Formats: sequence, C-alpha cells, structure tokens
Amino acid sequence: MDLTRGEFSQFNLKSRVNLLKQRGILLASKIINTVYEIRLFMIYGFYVEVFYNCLKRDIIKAELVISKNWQSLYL
Amino acid sequence: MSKYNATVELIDQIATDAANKGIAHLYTQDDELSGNLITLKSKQAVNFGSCSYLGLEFDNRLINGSIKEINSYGTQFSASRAYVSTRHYDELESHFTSIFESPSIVAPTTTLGHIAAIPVLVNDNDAVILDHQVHHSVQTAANLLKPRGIHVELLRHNRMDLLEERIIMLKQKYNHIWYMADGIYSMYGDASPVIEIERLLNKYPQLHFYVDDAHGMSCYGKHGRGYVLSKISMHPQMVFATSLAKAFATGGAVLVFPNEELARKVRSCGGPFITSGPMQPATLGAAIASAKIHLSDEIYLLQDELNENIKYTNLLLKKHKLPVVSESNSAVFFVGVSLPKVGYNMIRRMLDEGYYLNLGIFPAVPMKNTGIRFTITRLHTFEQIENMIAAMAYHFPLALAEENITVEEIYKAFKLQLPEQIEIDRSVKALINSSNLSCYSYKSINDIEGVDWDDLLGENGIYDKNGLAMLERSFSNNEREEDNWQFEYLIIKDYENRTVLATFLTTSIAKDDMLSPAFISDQIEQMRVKKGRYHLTSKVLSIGSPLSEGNHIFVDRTSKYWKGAMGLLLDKIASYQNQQDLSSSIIRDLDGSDNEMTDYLVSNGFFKLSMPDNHHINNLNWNTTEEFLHNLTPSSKKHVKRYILNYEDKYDVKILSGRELSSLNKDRIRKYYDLYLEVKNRSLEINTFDLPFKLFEQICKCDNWEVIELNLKSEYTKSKTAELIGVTLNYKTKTSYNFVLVGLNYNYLKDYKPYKQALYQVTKRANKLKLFSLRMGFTTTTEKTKLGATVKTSVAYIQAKDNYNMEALATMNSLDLETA
Repeated sequence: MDLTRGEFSQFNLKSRVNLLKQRGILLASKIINTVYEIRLFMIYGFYVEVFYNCLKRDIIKAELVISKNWQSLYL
Repeated sequence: MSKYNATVELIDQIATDAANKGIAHLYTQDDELSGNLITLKSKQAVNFGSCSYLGLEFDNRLINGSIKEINSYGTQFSASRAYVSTRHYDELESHFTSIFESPSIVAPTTTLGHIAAIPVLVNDNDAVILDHQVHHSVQTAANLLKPRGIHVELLRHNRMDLLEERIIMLKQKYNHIWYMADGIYSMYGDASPVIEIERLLNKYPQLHFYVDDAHGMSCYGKHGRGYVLSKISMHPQMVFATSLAKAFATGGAVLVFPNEELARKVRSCGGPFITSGPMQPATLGAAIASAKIHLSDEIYLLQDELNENIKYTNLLLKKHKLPVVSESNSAVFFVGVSLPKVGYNMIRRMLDEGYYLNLGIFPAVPMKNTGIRFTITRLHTFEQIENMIAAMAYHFPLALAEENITVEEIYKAFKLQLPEQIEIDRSVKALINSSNLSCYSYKSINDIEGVDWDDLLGENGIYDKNGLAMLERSFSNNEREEDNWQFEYLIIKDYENRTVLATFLTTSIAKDDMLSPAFISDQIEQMRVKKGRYHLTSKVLSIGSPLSEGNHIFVDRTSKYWKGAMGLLLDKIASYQNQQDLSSSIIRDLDGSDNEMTDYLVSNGFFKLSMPDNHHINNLNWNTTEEFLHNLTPSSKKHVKRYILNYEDKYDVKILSGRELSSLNKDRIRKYYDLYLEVKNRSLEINTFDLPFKLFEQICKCDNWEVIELNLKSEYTKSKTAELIGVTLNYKTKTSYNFVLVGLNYNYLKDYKPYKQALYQVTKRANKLKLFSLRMGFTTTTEKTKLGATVKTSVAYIQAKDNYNMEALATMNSLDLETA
C-alpha cells in the first residue's frame, strides 16, 4: 500500500530509513568530500535523498526531494 | 434463572464456543520468548495481542533486576504490608512519586488497587457515576459501595454533556460526585475527553475524577506518566490509578493522590493493603529497573518508536478502508465486525495467516459490537504491521461473505459513517464553510483596509506594517532577478466580518539547496561557479519572506471556519503556483507538534520538512550583569565571563537608530554591507542569495530598525585606529527585539570574539528596552544557548512538482541502503 509524500514526511528518520529499506529503490549515489554520501531513492513514486556520514557511519537525514534539477548532482 | 445467572451462562457459552474454535483460552508452546513471535497450536504467529506496548519485558535491566532481588530476598516475602514491607517498596514508591510528582502507593494489581482505594475515597454521602465502558475492575470496586447505600449510576460513554447534567442534579443531594473512567479504553482504544473533564473539575468543586489509565501508562507524557497526565496536570480533585502490567512491563499497579493525607488514608485503610499479600521481590526488582528507565530520557525514545508504529498502523487501516471503530493515537485498535460469528471467522483466518489478534466480544463489548481487537507494540516492524493489515483487508470481505454480513451492516451496528459518506459530508461542510468566508487579496501592505495588520501579526517578527513596507521598497525595481520579490497579502473574513486568517506570501528565486546540509551547498556553489548563478534555483512561493522568520499566518483557531479559511489559502496558493508555473510552494515556520494542522496540510498534498532550529530569549527581566549571569547554567556563566565580558571593554559599542541612523553616509552603510557579505559568504547552513545593498540603505531609513556597532578600540587594531569589526541590524516591535542580520570582520574573530560580543550586546539592548522577548534567528545554537536562548523547532510544509530526469538516473547502478 503506497504512502503519499505527505504521509512519508510525517515519519521520523529511523522510520523513513525502515521504509526505504523495505520499499525504496536506490537510483544513484554521490560521495562528497570523501566524508559524506548522498543516496537518491525512489519510493512510492517519489524521491528521497539519504545523507550519510561515512566516517561516523551515521545517517544524518532522509528528506524528500523538492528541486527540479537535482539529477545534475548525481550525473 | 436470575439475570446474573443468565449472564454467567451466556459468557460461559461464548467462552467455551471460542475455546472450542481454537481462538480463545490458548497456550503458547515456546520454550522461550524473545520478541513478538509466539507458537500457538504448533504454528508460529506474530503477536498482535500484547499490551506490553514498549516491549520492555525483554529488557535485560528489568530481567536482571528481578534475578537480583530473587537472589537477595527469595521468591516471596509473605507478610501483609500493614505489618512490614520489603525495602524495595520504599524505593519504588519514591520513584513513582518522582514520576508523577504526587504521592504514590504501589499495589499488587490494578484490581486490588481499585478495591483498596475506592471504598476509602468514596464517603457514604457521595455519589458515583461510572462511564459505561469503564474497566470491569473499577466496576467491581464500585459494586462494593452499593451495600453501603451509596448511589452508583452509569453514564453513556464519554458524554460530557450528560455528565454535567448529572452533576448539576446530584450536587443538590450528595457531598461529592465521583466520575470514574478509563484514560484509554481497553477495547476500542479511544480516550477520555480529559480536557473537558478538567473544565468540569474546575467548574464544580463537588466533582471528583477517579481514572484508570492502564493502557496509557509509559506510552505518553513526561516520565511516561500516561495519557491523562500528558494532557492535564494532577488535579486536586483527582485520583489516578494505573497498571504496571502493560507497557511498564513488570506487573503491579500504582495509585496516585493529590495529597499526602489521602495517600496515607488509603494505605492505612484500603482492604487489600491490610489483608492481602504484597508484590513479590522479583516483580519489585523489575519495577525499580523500569521506573529508572521512565525517569531517564530513554523513555521518550521508546515512546517515539511506539508512536511511529501507531502512526503507520492508522495510515494503513485508513488506506484499506477497514471499519475502525475509534480513530485515536493509542496502541489499541478495534476493527468492527458486528456479530460474533464474523469475529470467530476473522480470528481463525488471521491465525491461519500467522497473526494472533484478540476477539473483542461480549461481555467486554455489546453482543452486536464484536470486533477484531489488536494492539501495536514497539517490537512490531513496519513489515509485520503492513503484512498483518494487508491480510486483514484481504480476509475481511471473504469472512463477511461467508457469514452473510454486509459492510453497511457493520457500519450501522457501530453507528459509524461509511467512508464515502464521510467524504461527501466533508465536501458539503467545506462548501458551507467557504460560502461563509470572503477572501481579500492585496499586492501591497499599504493597500490593506479594514484590518489592523499589526494586531494580528505585527508582534511575530519583522513583518508589521512598517517592516513590510520597507521590504517591499527594498525588493522591487532591482537589477538582479533574485532581488525582486512579489508580495501577496491575504485576509479571510467570516460573514460577521471577523478576520479568520491573515498572512502574506512572497514569490522569489530560491536556491534549491537552501535547507540542505552545508556540505551539499558547498558542492553546489562550486557547480554554480561553472554553470551560472541560477543553476539549481527555482521560483518559489512561500508564506512569509526569505528574510523573515516566525509565525507568518494568523489563524483564529477558535473560529469554526478556520479550516475553511485554510482551504481558501491553499486554493490561492495553488492558483498562484499554476499561474506562475512555480516548482513549489512552502508554508513555513509552523509548529511541528500541531497534529491537527499536519493532518490538514498532508491531506491537502503537502509534505513536512524540518526547518533549522530557531532561538528565543524570553527571560529579559534582569537589572544587572550579575542577575543576567545568575540565570545561566554554570558552564554558560563561565563561557560568558571568559569570552564575552572579558572582551567587552575592548569595544566601543554604539547603538544607532532614528535620525542618527537615517543620516548615515553611504560609505558607512557600505561598510555594514561588506561585513555582512563576509559572514554570508561563509555561511551555507541556510543557503540564500546575497541580500541587495539597497536593503541596507532602506533599513537605515526605517524607524523600527536599530544598528549595533562593535568598534574595536584603536589599541587593539592592526591599523591602530578604531575599527568597526562587527555590526548587527535589529528590528524592534512593541514587545520584541529581532536580531536579523550580522556582519563581522573575520580577521579579528579569533582574538576578539566579535560574534559572541554581538549576540551579547543584542541581548543587553533587548533588556534595556524592557522588551518581553528576543528572537535570535536560525543557526549557531551553541552560541545562542550560552546566552540563555531556548531552542524552538519548527517545520515547513511543501507542495512540489516532481521533475526528475528519470531516464538519466535509471542508467545508474542500483545499490542497497544496507551497504552504506
């Protein structure tokens, strides 16, 4: 059963990551400054970026994508 | 046969029938349990019947607490508490007094707690009103009052109007009226209307409230003190009982009293405290361990995890359109099936699918209100919840067909509205609401008539009439696209000409990474150098303006038309978004814990995004530096003395406003601007375009603005002449001071701490002006909290179009989140 963007956004970081693990499709990733990694997921027909601190091995945030041109960051 | 015997016979028949069908009186077959899987009739099932909502029963601290006390005190201490209690009681009751911040007594079970307390609390000339659905254990205790001739009556479930009528009647004849209810009801999971009950307690001194919050304990409130006490404080006319055998995970119960005297009396006179056995060492040891968790911040993490599962369950039930009897945020859910035969059918089907759920049946609920009762705990995974509800949704129509019952009959049995009917009613209501409202829109603050804007929004930030007029002047007729903002003002009034909603919106070019982490913005800024300043930017419609912060929407939530007014606002936003082909619209600076607003905006297609933390100082009531320091924590005090007060005499601090400010020459304003750019170019936490110089010129001409200059004395500068190394631009309203912009010379940052000094001088100025609050804006939490600022979290709601270039992205490799 699909969630809308609004419904997804009501969950906390841990739950968002759970949902992404369960249902998300990883589309792209990008390492920044060798420390951070951003991963772009598609879930329920919309897009979510997961920000990961590689040194601390910690997910910082998982936010819905709002920009129209973000793909250029991954290409 | 007497009525009582007939009832016993009926219950026996139902229980035997359910047991014969293999859905009641079951036994687990597992040698050990460690999670939410149980084996029933040789088949593993996910347990959706546990009331241990936080899953603490497997916590090693509780387990070790039990083992330790068994080793110390044996398996039992067999003596009445009237004679002697083990030392554990003393420790545990003291923990509960801390948890509830009221005198507390521990009882072996909730039932015994009620039997101990109620006969002592209720006097012979009192009356008792029982909520129709109050737990059986409270009813049992209340029945003990009847031989004393005490008046006991039932009230229709949660009907506060009828309760008030009965209070008015009964108070003529009785000294006290005790209303007895549950905090969260164990079958339907609905809650007592505690705010309304508190109102009645305040209105009628004769009214007393006895509440059993067994299903709310641990899951809600400060220190997990339960649902009721998360909504209202302990009232002098209230006695609170709760179970430790649910989310608290140990067994036992607590009674909480408004004063020591009442607690002492129940402890001395309550029957089970005199004659019954005590809680045993194993239970007491676990309870002490659980109480310590409740007194730590860990309880909030556990509550949050449970709450996420509850939220997910509610969403899925709604999506599958199952007839949920009561929508609430409790961990107890009840899906109505009407007749017992459908209930048996469904429970059997769900067991076959590997899910154990409870049957809610007579006598717990009326015969024709049978249902599937299930509970959610912190131990459930989203996957388990999703699969269970999907199985329920699949089997529900099959079970109905098999038992020849229709969905309409179920909705009728529970007096529920069909989902389609709810939708129609909602549309009709929205139409009626909007027909009672008029929406007025304006392009400039100066055009607004018939409304005192400053009364509605003027104290919320820099957007009173003067402030907005200045912003309009600053952000129009500029060369660069990002320096031109389009303003829209909306006033929505009801048919009696009362303002229900007022706000302003701006359309501007924003950087897409505005709220992204700084490391992302850093990367994107590098791309902008190559690809142009407008790369990854969008035209955005936002409530408020890019410069202002705070609550930009006045909504009269007491008006019955407020949702209608919000609807009109959203219609306007959609219309602006379409007209100008904007990629997104943002409603920002709202309180994230306002669930009603969240539900409203999410159901209208918005999604929630966290905003950076905001900072306020609300305590500006001090007369001397010593008094100011006294209000700070020891470490902050040390910090302020060392890094701020020690440097204060190195500066000439100058405050400019009014004529002095408006007569500044352009070079001086240019100096402010350059210092601002030094800060701006280093700050990517909130990545915005540079503000135009024209804004600084306009600020200096506006009465409400003040500038605080930090001039480093000549003996400390490199040039040996006094030098402006810090500046803040601040906005005054009648009650607040707003720290809006800052400029710094970074060459002096390390040696003379101008940023810390600037924040302090702003605080001093707000104090000197005798204002009520200081708004310190976003970012630099550590620095601001050192000066006593509190952190305020807020959220934005965004409606955006998806524009991903999917073809390009689809060619990329797939990875898994686990590998991160």
